[in-house]
Amino acid sequence: MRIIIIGNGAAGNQAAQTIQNRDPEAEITILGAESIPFYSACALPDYLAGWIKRDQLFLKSSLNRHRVEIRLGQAVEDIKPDRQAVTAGGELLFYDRLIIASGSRPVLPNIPGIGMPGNFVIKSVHDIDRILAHNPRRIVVIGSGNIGIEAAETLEYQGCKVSIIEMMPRIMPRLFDEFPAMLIRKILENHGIEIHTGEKAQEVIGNNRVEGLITDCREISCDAVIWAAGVRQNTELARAAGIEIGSLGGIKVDSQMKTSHPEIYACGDCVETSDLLTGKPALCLLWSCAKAQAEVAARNCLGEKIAYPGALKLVAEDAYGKPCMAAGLLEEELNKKELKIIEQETENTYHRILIENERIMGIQAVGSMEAMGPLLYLMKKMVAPSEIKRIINSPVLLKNMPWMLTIDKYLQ
Amino acid sequence: MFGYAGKMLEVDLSTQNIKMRKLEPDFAKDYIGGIGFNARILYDEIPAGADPLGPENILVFSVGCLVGTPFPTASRMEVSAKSPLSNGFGSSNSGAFLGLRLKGAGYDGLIIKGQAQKPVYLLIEEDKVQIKEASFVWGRDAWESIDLLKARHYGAEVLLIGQAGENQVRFASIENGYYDGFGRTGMGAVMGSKKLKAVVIRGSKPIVPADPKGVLELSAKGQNLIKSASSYQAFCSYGTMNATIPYGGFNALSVHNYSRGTLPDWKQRAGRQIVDIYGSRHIACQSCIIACGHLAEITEGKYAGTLVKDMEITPTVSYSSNVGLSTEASIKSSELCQRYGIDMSSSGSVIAFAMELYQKGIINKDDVGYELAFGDDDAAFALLKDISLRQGIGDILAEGVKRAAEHWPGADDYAMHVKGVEIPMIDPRGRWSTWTLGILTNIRGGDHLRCRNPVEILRYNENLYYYQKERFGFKKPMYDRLDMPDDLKSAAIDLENDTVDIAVMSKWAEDLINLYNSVGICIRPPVMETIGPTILAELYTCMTGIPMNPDELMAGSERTWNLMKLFNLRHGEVADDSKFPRRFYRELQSGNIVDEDKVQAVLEQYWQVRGWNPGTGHPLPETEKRLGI
Amino acid sequence: MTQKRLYHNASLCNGCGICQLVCTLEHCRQWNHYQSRIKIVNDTERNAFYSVCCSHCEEAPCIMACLMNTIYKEPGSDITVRDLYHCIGCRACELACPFDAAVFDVIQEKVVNCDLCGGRPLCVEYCPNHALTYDYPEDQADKNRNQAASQKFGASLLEVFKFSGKEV
Repeated sequence: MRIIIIGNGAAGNQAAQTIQNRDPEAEITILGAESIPFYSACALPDYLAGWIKRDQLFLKSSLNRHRVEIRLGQAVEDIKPDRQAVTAGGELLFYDRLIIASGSRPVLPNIPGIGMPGNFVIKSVHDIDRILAHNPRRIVVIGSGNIGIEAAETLEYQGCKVSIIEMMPRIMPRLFDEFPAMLIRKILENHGIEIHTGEKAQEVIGNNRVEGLITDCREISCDAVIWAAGVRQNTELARAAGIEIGSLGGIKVDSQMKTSHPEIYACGDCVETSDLLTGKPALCLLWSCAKAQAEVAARNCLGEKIAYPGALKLVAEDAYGKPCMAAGLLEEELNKKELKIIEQETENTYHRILIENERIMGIQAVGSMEAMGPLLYLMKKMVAPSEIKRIINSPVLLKNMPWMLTIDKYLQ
Repeated sequence: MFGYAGKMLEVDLSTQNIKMRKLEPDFAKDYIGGIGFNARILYDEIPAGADPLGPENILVFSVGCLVGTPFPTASRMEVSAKSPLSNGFGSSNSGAFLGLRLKGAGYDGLIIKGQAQKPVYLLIEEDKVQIKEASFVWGRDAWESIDLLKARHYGAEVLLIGQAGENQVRFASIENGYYDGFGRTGMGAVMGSKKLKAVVIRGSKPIVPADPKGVLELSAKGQNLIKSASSYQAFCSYGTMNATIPYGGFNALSVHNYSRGTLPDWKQRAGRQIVDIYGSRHIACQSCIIACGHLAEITEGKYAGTLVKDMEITPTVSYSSNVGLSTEASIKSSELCQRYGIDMSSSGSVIAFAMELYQKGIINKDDVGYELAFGDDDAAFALLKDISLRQGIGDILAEGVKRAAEHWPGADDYAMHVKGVEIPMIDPRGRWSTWTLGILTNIRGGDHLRCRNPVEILRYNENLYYYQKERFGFKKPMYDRLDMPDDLKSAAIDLENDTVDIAVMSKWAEDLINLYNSVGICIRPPVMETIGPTILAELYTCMTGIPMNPDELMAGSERTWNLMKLFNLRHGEVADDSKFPRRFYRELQSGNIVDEDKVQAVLEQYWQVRGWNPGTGHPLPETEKRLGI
Repeated sequence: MTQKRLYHNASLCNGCGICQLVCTLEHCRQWNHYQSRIKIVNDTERNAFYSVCCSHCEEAPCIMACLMNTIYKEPGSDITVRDLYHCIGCRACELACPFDAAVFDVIQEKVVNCDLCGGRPLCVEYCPNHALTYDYPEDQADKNRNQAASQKFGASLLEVFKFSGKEV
């Protein structure tokens, strides 16, 4: 079987690996647009901070090079579903199954000065190399998702003066509710990061290179701007080939990760799947989701019938040594009437659990990640809190698992 | 510095000043750790005549230097201060998991000076040390306070005092978690006088041995040695409760304030079978392979619902025989003592003392408020509460038997103490051995835990040898195995006549136990029987990288012992203090009395062996010079 | 190929913690509370000590969660191993582990799990009461799996697996 994988990222490599493990005879071709080998995008901030070396970014792959052909620097020009072929580098490549894992790219707003040197995104190794070569001292980070926060923290660690501009009224608006977001904000501000929420960037000013940024409230002088305010799915190829695109802008797939064409599968950042907890369509831009989706797509390619249960948002973040985590949905995404919020705050930890209809729908924690794994598992399995309490009924475990106190509170 | 954490924490509660004291390698080598550090610091820094409950007293916690190795039983830490009971060197030892945690927080010891204005607790999180306000736990019992503190400080180990310590009851203990504690010599009162309710410790610093592989190998060797001990199996099953029936048989129990030698139903009441009845599981201290502690659970009757780590000979004898309580009441008494934070041995003795005074008519119902009789658990627990909270007559009894006896004429005859510290068990009239001499020679007063023949056999000792000797009772292989220098071994043990010379053996036994308290291992018989300075010296070298031989190690221990003696002498101890209570010399018990002159002769022999003046018990100048004090 | 696994019999354990000490001494040449790959938890309610240790799941959630692809099954066996060179200490695998058995090593700032000491687990050698054993899963299942597992802390979560119909 000939399988072509578009994209040399987490999803593409995981798909190739799964196929190879299950069917060593399959001929796999990976087409990567970037001309560098497989690396982890999640470690880019660590590389930016100098915590890891450049070569540690590149992941070792156990793909068998006799069976897997990796073509780097070859962007796919178009997909011809009717001929079961793609063109890349002017060559026509035929496939039995195609897996699209084309990923996503950061969005830059269309404002004046955006083209000047000193505007950066954080997406690939090259972006980081460019930032390091630019050697900025005074930086504005636009957007406070996890990439934005990590970038701000690492640059501050390197001795830069960092400001964060966030359009929404709180930081990490997609990940945390208001109170935990405020806790994290305090930690960051205590370490000297300036945070402005509810502001929008209007213009980048400067003379041939970035010298400042104007928002609707203020002007900040800086020598670099990092844009970390959202990404867009790379769906152009799929759209051109007539593959159905979902309402949120990703490639639409069913639970087997199959697109509207029966021989074409898709996985990773570029797809639109359903949410694990609600079943509604969702975009999930996480490494672990991409890997899980790729595994499902690959196995279905080979003729198995495996269903992807849905994407679960799960982010672990380290705010100056304080572990923070968020999983599932936010308060505003849930039905206000049914929702119960339980909070537990101690001197250095904070736990928040959102419960809707006797189901845990969201977990947020600041300061402690201890024993979170079991709770997440229970959340994924949709076990009711009373059932959790019955299973783990012991005062000692109460002391060992801080979140048990929270659940206990709910049941009382 | 390998093996050690490398620094001690010094907190002055009067000035709120927090300092780090660096551990010098020479100091570490000379004084080893644990009680050794304590002795030096107290000797150097407490002025003569200091009030034990005043700001001049210093409370020192030190962790044994082998804590942090998987060597069996390496878990102990020692707390010392000038004792409010004896006015001399007060010291107490405890295991469980605290020592490792303190060392893991980055400290070999904790030195507490001064006196706080308001109740405080100390929060140690590695390098971050805070003195925090403790009014929310002040006045609460130890278990409640632990729950409250642990809820605030997730994942921490706690050492604290209960109400007894807060009220400066002179025999209050410092509790180490729920079930363990630093019981004897009133360390809790010192902590209470400093208004320090608790020390909360959290941390994750590494303990780095010089040669981890060596440590692992020697630990395995130690495990095999201890497992080969003759008493190992019995101790694994029943712990110290093995000895209750033999001691009952020797008439050597402290029944009803030493007025009798044994009880007719002793075997049913406190034989080791009660472990099978009430014990629910074994609990080990850090690194212990014996796990002599048992959780005792009472499921029905008056005390249903009691769950406590008990089933140890000392509290059992103290409450079952001395106060005369039933088995279940004696288990309950453990819980109460741990909650109030009071020494189980001393509190039992004090209650027994009050009961005897009541019996003899020296005190009456008007003084007490209720009737007191041996074996009455309600009265005993009411009195325990009064003592802990210093209410009514409890206020007088909380001073300990020696001081309380001064209140009532004639009460002195019933005050069973040596140097002010109540004697919890072993009646020398029932059985004379190295152990009983140890009660007299013990630096910290009337206590049996600092001197014990490492190869003591639990058989009746006929005392045919005019107090000079006791029976050895083992065969040659045991003699050969004993880790003792050959010349000393032949001087102490006469294999032909099957006897042990008490004076010589006492010195060795005290130094050995003192060494254990310095390196932080336990004095359970299977350990004493098999672990000697040879393996400890090797392990010390592997752990710290400091070259050490067995002789130096024993010399270090002896140095500490002498230093403690000098501390006592400086704070007013005289030769006459090394005397048993009058009762032992005058009152017959199962047909025996202790012969005062003969005991004095053995004591003088012992002083001579120690290199002390045989008349006064002062260390001689040449001894001090030899040890480099 | 099935590999021998680590088993802990809660009814024999005294909670002495020797296993934790030898574990860190072997792996890190020092003792640190947070570096031990095996954790012993005291459960006073159910009257036993439980161990928490990597159980080398067949479909390991940590492998899927790893952002750097550093966790993998050892070729030729089913032991979950890590390539710490690439680990960035993001703790995603710690979150993913339903047994709470992935350990964040505070000194290296990386997450580690039990590697069975390359086939000769030291904790088993040092365990004074033989509460820890190194055995084939099928042998152990016959012996005391139910008794030990039903009590075990980590395995209190076994119920969850049963509940959700998943085989462990």
